[in-house]
Amino acid sequence: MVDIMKKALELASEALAAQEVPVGCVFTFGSDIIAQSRNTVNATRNPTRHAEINCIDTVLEYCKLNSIDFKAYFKNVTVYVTVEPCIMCAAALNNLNVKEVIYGCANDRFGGKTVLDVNDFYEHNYMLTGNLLADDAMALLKQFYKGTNPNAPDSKVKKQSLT
Amino acid sequence: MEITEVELSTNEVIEGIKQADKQFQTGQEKIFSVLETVKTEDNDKWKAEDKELSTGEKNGVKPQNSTIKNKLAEQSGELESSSSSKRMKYPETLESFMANLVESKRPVKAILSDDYYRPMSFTKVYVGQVKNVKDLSKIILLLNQKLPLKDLSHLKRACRKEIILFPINHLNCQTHASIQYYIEEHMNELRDSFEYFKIIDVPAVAPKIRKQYVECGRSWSCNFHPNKYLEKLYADELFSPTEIVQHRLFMGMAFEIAIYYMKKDKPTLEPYDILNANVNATVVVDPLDQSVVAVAFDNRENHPVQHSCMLAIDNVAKTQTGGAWDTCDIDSVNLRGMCSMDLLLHLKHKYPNIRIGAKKYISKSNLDEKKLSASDSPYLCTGFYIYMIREPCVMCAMGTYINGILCHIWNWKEDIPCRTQDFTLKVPRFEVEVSVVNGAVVYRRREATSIFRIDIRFTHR
Ligand SMILES: [Zn+2]
Ligand SMILES: [Zn+2]
Repeated sequence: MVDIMKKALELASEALAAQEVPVGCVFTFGSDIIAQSRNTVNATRNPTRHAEINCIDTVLEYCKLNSIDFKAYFKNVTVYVTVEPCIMCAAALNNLNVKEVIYGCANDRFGGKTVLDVNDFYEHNYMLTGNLLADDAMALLKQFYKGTNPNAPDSKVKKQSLT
Repeated sequence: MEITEVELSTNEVIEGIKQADKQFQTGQEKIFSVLETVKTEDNDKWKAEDKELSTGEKNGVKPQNSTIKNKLAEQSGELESSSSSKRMKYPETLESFMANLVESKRPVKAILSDDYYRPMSFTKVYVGQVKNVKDLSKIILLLNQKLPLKDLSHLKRACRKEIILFPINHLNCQTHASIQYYIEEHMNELRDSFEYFKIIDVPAVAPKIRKQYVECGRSWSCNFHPNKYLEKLYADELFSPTEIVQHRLFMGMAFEIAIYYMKKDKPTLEPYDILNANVNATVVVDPLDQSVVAVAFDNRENHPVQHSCMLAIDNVAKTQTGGAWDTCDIDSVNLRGMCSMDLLLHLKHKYPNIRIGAKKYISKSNLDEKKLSASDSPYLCTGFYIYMIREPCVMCAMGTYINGILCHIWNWKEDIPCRTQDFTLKVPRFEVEVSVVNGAVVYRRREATSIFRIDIRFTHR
């Protein structure tokens, strides 16, 4: 578990180096890593391209290529993410019926549990555990928010949101 | 009305679009002259019905297995257990449905958090009746110093000869003697100031709108700064009749997109089919020049994240040289928000007077180089309006929020409760900054997403 979260933290550092909000994510199926990604919001100019959404895309692509029923497949997927999934990602993961979500540090601004409990909106809920290597995840975020987002026009920098 | 399919080469298309853009100016004038004739007379008629409908919706989860007929009736606010005669009046053809949708004069309803509609909540406080009115200001000063109202600072300290002392939970036991004892111990100078003490109910939170202020006034006076924006939101009067016609036009386009795709599978498509299908369609509009930046139709069956809203957001990104999903067959960057050339042609044909295409995107470095300001280039969906045929799910609602969408307009309420009301409560959409400048109260609306519901439903006349 710790090893996989360390992998997710590596991805988050990679995001930081690319001047993206440092969040990394790994999807596992049994003991296999089936998807890994990080935030690509600035690269795609699409603020919804969070690490979790990128991983979902990878898994769906894999299922399509191998004629696997994604609905059944996602039921066995565990999600490791360095920051608590935001409301949007928590809804997407609920919708896909993933088995479990394990996160690093909490997301005080947009957390899908901390700010608004997204599980209330869905019938089937995943297991949610937090606080795995939280300090490391938080340290990366702090490092990011010390600088400013280079792709936002000056007047809009303030509005940039966390994950 | 039959749709004539046109076969055109790319060059002809671009030429056609250019021409349409030229016509746009005159088209706009045409639209506005139509608007002049729009009256708001029957707004009141609908309002009563709206209130009824919105309270009904708030009573929790609806049965999931309601029949289509019931669903229709719910959507039109006509669900009455006994009467059945009314239900047969819904238009049966797509044409009449679309005509009603665009021409209806019903208002656009703002979705506010529940606390705007609920009765005010009250809390109990001790008040003291002052013996001598002349001492009133002196006592208030002392009390404000020693026992500030804190959470209750929206209340006036005194009302006629009564002064608020503290909330009842400030003391352990609730007797006249214990209050007198407390005063003697902590503010001995007030030991003889009061005739008697009593417990009264006062508003627990500050009133946000005039209706709540009036409600509060019956028990105790509050400090209240009327906020014109909130008042208009609550009264469904934020948009002018002109703006509502525009909203309906773009909502019509969202339905047109759903019809365009759904007719491919079912040529005999009826309004019921759209209502009953688990799909959504989205139109993103730049309100500054009333141009369509991006559109999208659902692909959730194949890709559970590709709700039309998420696709539209990605299509907007494509017009800014970004985008993550490979879902567009158009080369021209400004038109990539339209997904496919076929759909672009179809919409151009259906809406010759609407400008389609995004403003030119200029990167940060180019803005700096040419000494342009940030507002010279679009940035994400900042300031855009989004139109959807259905209420967005939680994922999509959050997606638009983090994108800077200014105004979210949808038509049908979802069966599976997405509870927009909960969402508006938790995510601060309607927060207004209040500041006092030279004695005048100044309101500034924070830039956040607003959600509106356009009341199209299945209309009938
Ligand atoms: Zn997220
Ligand atoms: Zn959605």
